[in-house]
Amino acid sequence: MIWTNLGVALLNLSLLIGLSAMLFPRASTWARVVALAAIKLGGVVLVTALLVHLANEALLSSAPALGPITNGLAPLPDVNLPRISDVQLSGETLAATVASATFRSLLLLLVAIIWGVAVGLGAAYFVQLRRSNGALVSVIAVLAWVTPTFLLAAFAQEVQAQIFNFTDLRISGGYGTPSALQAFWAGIVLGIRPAAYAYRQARVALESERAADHVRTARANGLPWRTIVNRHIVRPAAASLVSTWLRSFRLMLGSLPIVEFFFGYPGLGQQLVLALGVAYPDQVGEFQPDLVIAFVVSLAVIVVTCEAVAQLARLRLDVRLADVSTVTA
Amino acid sequence: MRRPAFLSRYLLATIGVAILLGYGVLVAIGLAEPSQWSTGVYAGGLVHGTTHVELPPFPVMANLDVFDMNARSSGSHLYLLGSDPGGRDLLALIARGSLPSLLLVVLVVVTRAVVGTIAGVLMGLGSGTVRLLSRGIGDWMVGFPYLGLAILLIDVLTPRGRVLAFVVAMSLIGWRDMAEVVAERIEYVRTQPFAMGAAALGTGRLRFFQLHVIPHLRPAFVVEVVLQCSAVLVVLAELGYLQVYIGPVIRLTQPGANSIALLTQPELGQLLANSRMYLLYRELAPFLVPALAIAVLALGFELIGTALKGRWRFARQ
Repeated sequence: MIWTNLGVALLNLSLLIGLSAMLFPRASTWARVVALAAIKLGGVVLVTALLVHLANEALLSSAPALGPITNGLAPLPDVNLPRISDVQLSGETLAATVASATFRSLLLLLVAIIWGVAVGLGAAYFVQLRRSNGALVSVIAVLAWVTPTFLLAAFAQEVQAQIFNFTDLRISGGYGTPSALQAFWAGIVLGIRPAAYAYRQARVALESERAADHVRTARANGLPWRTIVNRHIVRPAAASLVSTWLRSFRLMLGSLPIVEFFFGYPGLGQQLVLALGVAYPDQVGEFQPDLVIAFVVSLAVIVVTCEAVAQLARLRLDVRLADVSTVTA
Repeated sequence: MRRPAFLSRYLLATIGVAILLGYGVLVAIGLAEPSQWSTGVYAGGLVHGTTHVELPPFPVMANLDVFDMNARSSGSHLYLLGSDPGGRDLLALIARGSLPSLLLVVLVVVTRAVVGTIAGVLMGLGSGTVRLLSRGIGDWMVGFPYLGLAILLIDVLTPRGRVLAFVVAMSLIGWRDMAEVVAERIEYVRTQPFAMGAAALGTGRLRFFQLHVIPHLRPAFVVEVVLQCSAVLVVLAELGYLQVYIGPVIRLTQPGANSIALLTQPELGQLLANSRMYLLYRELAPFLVPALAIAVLALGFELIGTALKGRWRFARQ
């Protein structure tokens, strides 16, 4: 019930912000962004609460079919379904669990963003600067994109093992407990596919800007290529690059559960997957409704906040968007 | 000297088609093997012509005289890609698993295409409110972590059938890309002078869509469908790794005590369900073979999609 109330409260908040935007037109851009964020969050809370309720019902209805345990062997379910947890968490425990998991995941995301953006967008920029077709980088990007994240993680683990074999250096960062090395490796793996995505999308954005008339004029005027790229290609494409970054960030967040689950990193993703009843081979999965909602909402808060910031950045970076926004206001 | 763009496209498309054909040949070889190598459980095998006993999972290219739990001989077999812990041939498992997985991919992509087209048309051609609403729903959907949402939806819909649950869940997490492509194409067409001319002549929305939008939408749509195939395969693999898969299993030991789930109806995602265990015991073949099979299949689709995308962009220029 508390989740339904929270969802409704967020929707009411968005309504209030929307109304206040009418009274203060100068702040309408900000107000619209915040109101949209509140609507999205409210919707996520309500729909997640509904889905979790339905999943609970579905798991309960399938539970009797499993039958009693006989001869020390559990009966075989038709499909791999988790049990429902009977542990009731207090509000404080829930908040503390979610807060610590969120902090760890943010740390991981920070590493992934820094290197993912640097590699993905940076590679697109340098390919543009060198005026090459970037065939080799594109091939690497395609290979990274089609490789499932856990395969990349397994490869990273193999690299760790080989480094240990050759140098006797323990660089794996342990398992199950958060550490700087663990965040480093998990962050590297988490950033690989988003970096490939960011590279491919950024290349498209920069190439389409390169074909624009003003770039041709700048070249005809004899400006150095570096100046043309920095001033006439990257700057007008900045809003598209922000959108690209946002999409790759969403991808990163989507892969978070699998990376954290693989590395045993106790962040939001791993905790969400465990709360959904997915278990490690030596454990039994338990579905924990309250935790599922709390973790989904926490992940949604991160996405929605980043979207709001990116939207405001886009408005600042692209004069055309800012003009449209002013006219609408 | 730069290579012409169309040559790169042909090269990409040729490699993509070659990969898919190669995979098809591998599947055909696997399917040609007697079903006992993908259904029976084997305790071990003597290396052909020696007394050396190998225990499953058998390594790649192992030629063994296999015996079952009762030490009865089950015949001689060459394990081209190795075996799973039940002694089943991975090539045969992948061949048999590819069929339901690819069927699932087709179902998911078709559903995504239908839902995405409807939503995209609403985003591009609908009235102001409809466009705002459909765009809002699309934006709102990305607020969910896609793997979490997929698992939750699969749990909710499992009583109505596991395949249906997978199709609905995997379609819901990915229709937005398709809708964006359709809406972007419609918006592009709407800003063209011929579209304004058609509007001035009083062309209805349906007729406008049929005459002016579909010809411009078709190439982008085909590209997106091909790229969606690779995206769905990767999600299927990731769900499989998280032990969320379609079919029923046989457990070799008691659940909860390092049990290994063996397949009764192989499926590519399901083949990855024990990956953690295989990695833990450094049994790389049963983990790598299905994972690489999915990655190679996805690469084939991706290369074809990229080549088609290049062709479309080339044609526009």
